[in-house]
Amino acid sequence: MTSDPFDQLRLSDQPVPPDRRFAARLRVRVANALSDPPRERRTFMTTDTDPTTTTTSLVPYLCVSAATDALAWYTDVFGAVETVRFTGDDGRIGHAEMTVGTSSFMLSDEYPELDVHSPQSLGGTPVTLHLAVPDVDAVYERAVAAGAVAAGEPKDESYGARSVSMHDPFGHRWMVQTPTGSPTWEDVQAQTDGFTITQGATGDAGTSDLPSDPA
Amino acid sequence: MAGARTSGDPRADLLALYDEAVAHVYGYVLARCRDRATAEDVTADVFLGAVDDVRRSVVGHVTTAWLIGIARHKLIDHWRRMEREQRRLEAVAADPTIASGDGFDDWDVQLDVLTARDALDHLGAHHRAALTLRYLDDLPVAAVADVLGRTVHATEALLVRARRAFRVVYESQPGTPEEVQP
Repeated sequence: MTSDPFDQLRLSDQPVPPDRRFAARLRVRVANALSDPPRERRTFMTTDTDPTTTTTSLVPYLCVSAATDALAWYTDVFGAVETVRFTGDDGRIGHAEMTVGTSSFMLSDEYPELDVHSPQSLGGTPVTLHLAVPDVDAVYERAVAAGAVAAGEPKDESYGARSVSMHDPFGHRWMVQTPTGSPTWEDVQAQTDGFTITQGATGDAGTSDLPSDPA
Repeated sequence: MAGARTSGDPRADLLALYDEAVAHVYGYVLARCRDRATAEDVTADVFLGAVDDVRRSVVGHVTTAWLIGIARHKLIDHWRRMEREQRRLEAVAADPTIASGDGFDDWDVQLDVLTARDALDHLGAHHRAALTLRYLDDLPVAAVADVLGRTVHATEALLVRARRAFRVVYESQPGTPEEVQP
């Protein structure tokens, strides 16, 4: 009895890491799809390249004085993944995108001719970027070792997070947190002196990808 | 990141599994379609399909094996879609030698794997799917029938036709032993 020649086709499957930018983009899409409102049950097709399906509505766009260094720093310290980079003929990075966790952000070098300036040129930043990570202490250690200036060490806050604030070497301010619980606002109020907490409307924020206009 | 993989919350589990599983799913798909862009498309379909299942609460345990099961369906969907879109004539199915096919099942040959994979590319979606599941994936006929939504009997018949179609294409490819004799 002869063996079946078709048996020679059997594959022993090995994992193959896909292109890391593809993997990072897909991760964001999966995370966003998981967190969509439940009744919005779309089936995403990969042939859809509508950018609204791949990002959230509000995305920080950072200007840094040394974009190449910043891309490396956010990769090493935050575990962010670079997904695209536009390098200009003059050597400046005109646009780059990174994903971190379930979010993405953009950055570029300085373009003073377009009124795009880094915190270092402006002498500070009025914006804090809030980043949730699995282990704030580990991120803190890496950040400080890589030149960040932190306002103290991570500590447990009454609102249900272990938190630390820091300025990265490019002048951007980050509040890095790991959730530790989910107290109600009433619980938080009970432990908060000097502030009165009021809550806005809660509930359905709509099912569209795009924010609705306040009429 | 590592650690708690089974939190009991399938949504959290799926995201926690993603970084490890994406290489398994992509590897599975790439080995069967051999085209990076297609493999990326199908891999995305797999995970977004998994999200749909998780959201509809039709899944208990989020595992890589479960994702590979979705990949089988998505790959077959892809081939069917491709066939519809291209409206490709299935030259093989029209080949009269397949229908008669006397002696086709006594085939003793050392298959050249690359040529064989090229031959699979030229088969119709249903033949390609049947052979992929049965031989590349090494699934039992009953499992192939399950994935394809056919009876075991119909699947056996499909496999016979698929093997014949495969052989016709395989032997017509340049570089097969029959054609490189001095």
